[in-house]
Amino acid sequence: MTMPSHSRLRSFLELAASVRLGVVLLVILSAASVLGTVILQSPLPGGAPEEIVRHYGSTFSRVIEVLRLTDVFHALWYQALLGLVGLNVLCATISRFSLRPGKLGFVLAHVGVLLVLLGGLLYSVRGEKGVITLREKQSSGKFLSRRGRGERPLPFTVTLDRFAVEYYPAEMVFVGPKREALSVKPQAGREVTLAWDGTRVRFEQVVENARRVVEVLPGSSGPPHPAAHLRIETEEKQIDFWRFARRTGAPDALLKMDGRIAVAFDPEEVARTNPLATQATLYVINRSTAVLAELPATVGRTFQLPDVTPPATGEILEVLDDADNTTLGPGLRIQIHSGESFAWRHVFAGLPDFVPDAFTGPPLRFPEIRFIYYRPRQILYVMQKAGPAYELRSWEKGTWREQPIVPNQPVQVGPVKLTLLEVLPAAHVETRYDPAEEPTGIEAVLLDVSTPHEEPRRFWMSAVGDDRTMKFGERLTLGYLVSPDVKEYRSELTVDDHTGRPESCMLRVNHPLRHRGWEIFQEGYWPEGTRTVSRLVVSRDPGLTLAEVGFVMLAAGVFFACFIKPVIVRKGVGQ
Amino acid sequence: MSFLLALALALYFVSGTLSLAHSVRRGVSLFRWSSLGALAAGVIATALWIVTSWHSAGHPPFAELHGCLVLLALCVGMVSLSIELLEDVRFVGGLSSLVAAGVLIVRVRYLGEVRELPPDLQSLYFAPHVLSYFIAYGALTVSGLAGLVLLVARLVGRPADSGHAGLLENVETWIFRSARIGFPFLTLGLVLGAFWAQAAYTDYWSWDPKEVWALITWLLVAVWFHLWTTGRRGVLPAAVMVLAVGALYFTLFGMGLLPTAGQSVHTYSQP
Repeated sequence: MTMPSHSRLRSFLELAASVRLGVVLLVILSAASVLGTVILQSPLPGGAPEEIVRHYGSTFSRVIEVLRLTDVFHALWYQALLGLVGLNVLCATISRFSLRPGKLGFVLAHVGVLLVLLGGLLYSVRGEKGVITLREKQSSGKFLSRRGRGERPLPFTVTLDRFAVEYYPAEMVFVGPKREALSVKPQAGREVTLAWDGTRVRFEQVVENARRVVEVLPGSSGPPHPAAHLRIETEEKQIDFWRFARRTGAPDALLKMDGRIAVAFDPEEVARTNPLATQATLYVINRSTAVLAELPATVGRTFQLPDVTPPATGEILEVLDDADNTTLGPGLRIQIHSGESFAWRHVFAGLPDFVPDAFTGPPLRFPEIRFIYYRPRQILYVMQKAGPAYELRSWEKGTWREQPIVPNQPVQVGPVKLTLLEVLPAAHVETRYDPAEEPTGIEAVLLDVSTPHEEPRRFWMSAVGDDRTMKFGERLTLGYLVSPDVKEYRSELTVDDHTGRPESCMLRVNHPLRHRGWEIFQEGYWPEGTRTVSRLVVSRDPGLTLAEVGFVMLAAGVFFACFIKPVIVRKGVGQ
Repeated sequence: MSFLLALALALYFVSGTLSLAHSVRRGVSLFRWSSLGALAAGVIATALWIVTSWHSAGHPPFAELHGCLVLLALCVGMVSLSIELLEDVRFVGGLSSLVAAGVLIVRVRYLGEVRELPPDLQSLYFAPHVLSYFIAYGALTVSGLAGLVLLVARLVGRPADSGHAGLLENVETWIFRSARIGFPFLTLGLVLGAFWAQAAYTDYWSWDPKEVWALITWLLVAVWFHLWTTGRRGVLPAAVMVLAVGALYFTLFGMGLLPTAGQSVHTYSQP
């Protein structure tokens, strides 16, 4: 009662602005923050209060519940502590405010802290943040609040036009006889020498987006595989193509088809014991052309892939017989599902090569397995009789017909003309990869390998497909492996606020979009059935700019106080 | 390339031992100069490793903890070198060199294959954020060691010893001199991290355990700074600095011990 009231107020303000109070508050704040990292924070792994009791026992659980220790940083007492720190900083800034150069660091840093706290306060009062999940071609004009406010409207709609995941380039791995290993990123012109046996490897060509080109050439290193060169002419077009003998073990022994017309070549009359199916069929075959599954090609049919671990199942999702595309022709879309992973394939009747379309989850690879979509309207079957004489069996509209065929003399069969151009008693396939314009998802390299034991060899490998591994006996194995590491994922979006022209944009991690006071982020993605779901975050933070300015001021202030102020002070002392 | 690090480790160890020998037996300038030479060579070898790995990987080698630890050894080595060059401070420089060697040994535990950068690390903030933090960690490590030397000297010392008082004064100024580098870079690292998190994780601050411990470290260094700039000297600020550096090393290595670790985005890829 002896102290005048303004003097009491003054001493209170002095205390509120004191460094001593500041230091005490910062120590308490540190200790409180430690609590928030040593006690499990919500959302809890188990989610329920029982989880807390199980973890900490019933007495301590009571303390945790009262003090909201499972959500320390959002508890009222913690926020109040932050408020007290802010008040202390505010009082200190006002009571010691000065525009002298020596005080610049103090002012910048303390005003910076105030702005950051104020920005945070504004966000907690007026901010909005939430998640939008979109599949391709889907739109949304609302988001699910992350702040427990349920579904909230947006002042614009977001449409996901396209979603893409990009992986890092494939890697070439060399494995020696004693499991020595070296992995290399292929680069055109790069040469690698394997330390363990001096093998030299040169990457002649690297094609990042490749198209597979198959050529048939005379001669074969293994058992002789006869092949026939044939020509089909219809009213619209003429196709020259090769067919291998339909015999187990030969490459490409089953038919290559043009969608409507199936042509087979067979010097051993296998057809009589194993007649070709006359209805649309999906064949699943392994490398030695053993048939693993044979099923009518209709939507919804499922099949097993016995050689794949973890066990895989497949399903025909779509029959694309109306696809009017001369190069691809009719086809099927199938889905393979194994463990966590999904893969999708297009299987075209005219293109039986096994090419992946898309993945989700860990890459699903089964290079031993091929799919063939067999969809004949007309079957043409060239068979070798005794000596150089050939017979043509043809099937159309449910009946078989037989007639002789002489090399280089066209035979009219229904609407088409067939010519037997050449027969190679022993043939082999050579594969190469050309750069493609449309995205194929195939990376390929041309290698030149000289080992100390063999003739130098030049060959192509692709990171997807049968030729992703290559063996040189037991001495060397090459593997061209697709990278499991995601390089980038992105959403192509259209943002429409119904006032002007919709805006198209590309959204990537680390590159948010700003639109009418909102920020849109690419946050993640996950597979859902046959499609990928893109997860976006939208946020409206009226305190963001304040906080950002505050952060910059804080850093600038501390730099000034530590680096520049001592110089000024020293100069002052010198004078 | 690991040859460079083995060399650096040996050099830091030799330098630290010689410098400590010099601290105990004053006046043998051979110890001092050979220790300085070894330290300089160690710093160069460490820097060369960082430059060559950055070049061969095409991105800074700081996505994994073991690469960051090399940076820490470099920063500790550089601060220690500048101390030794500027002033003949007993114990602090030698201990710092030994800590740099220790960091390079601990690094081996975290070795793993070098992964490609995931999308969230592909940011312009990545290199400056990590660089700022490790410059700060290097400088503050030296401050913490100076604080520790001061505390130990106070505990076992005889205040009457005049040389002793000289030692303490020297050591005390070095808490400040290296913290003067450490505190601004610690702040810059925190601020760059906030900007990065805003772009990559949609929040500039999300109370992630690692963020919280970085904040605790920053708060304790700020406490020390306020004590120091208001004229406090002696045991209290030294103890706060030692505590702050303890929090710093817990931020770096201790996250795995926390029950909340699974809730963190700051997980280095582990072998």
